[in-house]
Amino acid sequence: MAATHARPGRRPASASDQRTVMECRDLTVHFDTPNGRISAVNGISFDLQRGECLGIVGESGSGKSQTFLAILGLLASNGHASGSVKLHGEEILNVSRRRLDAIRGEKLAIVFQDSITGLTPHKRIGEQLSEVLTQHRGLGRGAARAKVLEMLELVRIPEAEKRYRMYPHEFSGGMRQRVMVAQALLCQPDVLIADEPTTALDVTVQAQILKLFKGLADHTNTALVMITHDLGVVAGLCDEVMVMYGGRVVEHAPVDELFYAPRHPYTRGLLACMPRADRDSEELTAIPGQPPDLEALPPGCAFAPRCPYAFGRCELERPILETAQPGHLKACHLEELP
Amino acid sequence: MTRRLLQVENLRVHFPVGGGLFSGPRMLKAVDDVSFSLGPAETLGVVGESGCGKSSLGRAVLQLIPPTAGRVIWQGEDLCRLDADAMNVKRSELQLVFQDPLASLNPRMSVGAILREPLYSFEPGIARSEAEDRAASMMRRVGLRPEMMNRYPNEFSGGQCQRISIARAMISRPRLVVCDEPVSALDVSIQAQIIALLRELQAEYEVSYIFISHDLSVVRHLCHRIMVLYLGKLMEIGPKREIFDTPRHPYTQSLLSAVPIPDPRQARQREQKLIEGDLPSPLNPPSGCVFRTRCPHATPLCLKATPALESTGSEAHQVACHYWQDITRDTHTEKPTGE
Ligand SMILES: Nc1ncnc2c1ncn2[C@@H]1O[C@H](COP(=O)(O)OP(=O)(O)OP(=O)(O)O)[C@@H](O)[C@H]1O
Ligand SMILES: Nc1ncnc2c1ncn2[C@@H]1O[C@H](COP(=O)(O)OP(=O)(O)O)[C@@H](O)[C@H]1O
Ligand code: SF4
Ligand code: SF4
Ligand SMILES: [Mg+2]
Ligand SMILES: [Mg+2]
Repeated sequence: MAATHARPGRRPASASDQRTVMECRDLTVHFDTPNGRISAVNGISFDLQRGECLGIVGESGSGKSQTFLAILGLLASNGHASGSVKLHGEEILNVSRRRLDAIRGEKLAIVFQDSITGLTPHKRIGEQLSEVLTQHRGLGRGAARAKVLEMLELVRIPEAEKRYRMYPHEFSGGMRQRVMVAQALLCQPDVLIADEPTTALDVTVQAQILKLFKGLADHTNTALVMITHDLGVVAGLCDEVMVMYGGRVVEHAPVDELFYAPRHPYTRGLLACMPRADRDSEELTAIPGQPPDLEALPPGCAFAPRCPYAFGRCELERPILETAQPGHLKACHLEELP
Repeated sequence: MTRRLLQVENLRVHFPVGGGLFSGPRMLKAVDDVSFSLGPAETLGVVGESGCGKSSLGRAVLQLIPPTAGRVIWQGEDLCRLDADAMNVKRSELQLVFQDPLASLNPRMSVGAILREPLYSFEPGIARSEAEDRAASMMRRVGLRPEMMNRYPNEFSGGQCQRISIARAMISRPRLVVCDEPVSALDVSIQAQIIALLRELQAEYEVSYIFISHDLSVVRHLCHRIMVLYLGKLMEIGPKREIFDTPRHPYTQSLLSAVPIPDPRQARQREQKLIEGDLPSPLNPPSGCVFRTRCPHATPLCLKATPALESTGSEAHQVACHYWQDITRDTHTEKPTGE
């Protein structure tokens, strides 16, 4: 059962395990809408270790963002989350606003795709960033300023002293995104969640930001969750990958296994339909059809209408996420891919 | 050498911007002195960072924005000299597909009407029944059921809307379609479907594409030749294989180096040559070589002199860098096997 599976690959996690930062169990998110209830996320479970990078991939609408917005207590007002999310053993799902604010300041941080929404337009960058420290960490103004400058330099903002006094609109998109990363790192969070942080950026700037994240994973204990639709981003950065489809995890594996020995037809399909810049790709094998409509999910496997291997059972019975081999989970009725 | 369908010479697109009380408007050089040609059934990829002038170039070729200077020779005729009526006649041969599929379709028109419209305007006497038949067969051709003809764009998904846009562009049997980021807004699995469709249509109709994209992986898959722009200037142009296997311009090299590779082992091994910093303001481009502020090889000469476009040996492959030969030699001594 998804709810009870131990984290794949490494030793089973428990609250006393020092390396485990976050344990998410059976997280479910639904939205109440005029047309009825939409199940956006269904029974997601995973563990995060210190210094680990977990990639979340899937097409738009697959539930990537809502999973982590729920964990951060940032769902829209018509959204409801259930299940359990523990940060260092403390339950954080659906706790009070005040407690969440404190947790978000200290232990959990998020970087969004659109860096402009994360920054207040009428406040100088330096002021916004140092506030985090004066309010959450009780630092004095001088100390906060020094720390902010250090962070801005870490994320390679040129002329940090000068930039400290500038407003967000005076920064380029790439620079704003780096400021967002600096802001997220100020309190040395245990978990940094990055939701498509480079999707709006040029490849050159994307590469700079990804390098920054990579350095982060190598040099700090911060666990990183990288949400992306781009398997290329995952390949270069993540240790583990969860593939989502129609609000569920369909495969969860160490990064090499996911790429070289995928166990789910959807993952295999994604890999086969991606052109590559480093070599000539043969004919791409497109996945036919369209991503599922959450308002009309089929009773069986959500991928069945597009799956080349679908058979009778797939349309009737939903496959559960189970261990295919140690450390590798998949939700598919097939034992082996043909 | 392929027969030339399109020949673009010294094209410039300059926009007047700003201009306060005491100063005249400044000129933003969105496209600056760009020349290239295109053959029948050929796909030319146009790549470069946001704001480098890709869309402006595509639109100026189609005369959707007036070029500031230069010539756009279409089958021997300079489109820049045609009056509006003459240009409208040409439009059936020259079409455009946009990035945002939904926004580019009129929300108040049914899909059938959207597809028939170009037929009525380019073939004024056409009978309604024939227009309907052709719209239906075009729908089928792009993978949509003709029964959906009476539906409106908002009833379709992003991928389906892009199929409709492609059908609309193709129905007048154009010889050239400018595709401006046609798959960038689509999910990966849908991207591959649209790419396949564009390829099939090219094989069938012998249409040429100017394919604008910031995604080098897609460009590698779809294009025959590639043009790299930076701040409105042509940095390098050449056959796909040469651009990807032996890029000569430092900017092309760093663009390629920055593309994520969906292969963990490769990703771990590869040594990336990343450029630092951000794009300079296009209103105030660097003197000399526009790339010099981010170029690892820049010298004082690059500050003073603008490099001219030179042939690298094979005539079709051209590069604008003072030092491309030295850089080529250096990269070869570093990595003799070339991976
Ligand atoms: N109508 C206009 N008036 C003034 N400046 C313009 C106009 N249209 C485009 N520009 C400027 O011209 C430059 C080139 O723009 P263009 O849209 O061609 O870039 P692009 O390469 O297509 O970028 P993207 O990848 O973001 O689509 C940019 O600096 C842009 O701001
Ligand atoms: N406030 C809301 N009300 C109803 N549905 C919502 C709401 N917010 C998100 N959803 C739906 O939840 C699903 C998952 O969304 P999301 O997690 O944002 O997807 P993605 O994987 O692209 O990040 C989508 O189908 C989306 O339309
Ligand atoms: S359960 Fe059936 S339909 Fe679903 S992915 Fe596996 S084979 Fe395909
Ligand atoms: S001309 Fe100079 S600055 Fe420009 S690309 Fe070549 S070496 Fe770099
Ligand atoms: Mg999202
Ligand atoms: Mg554009």
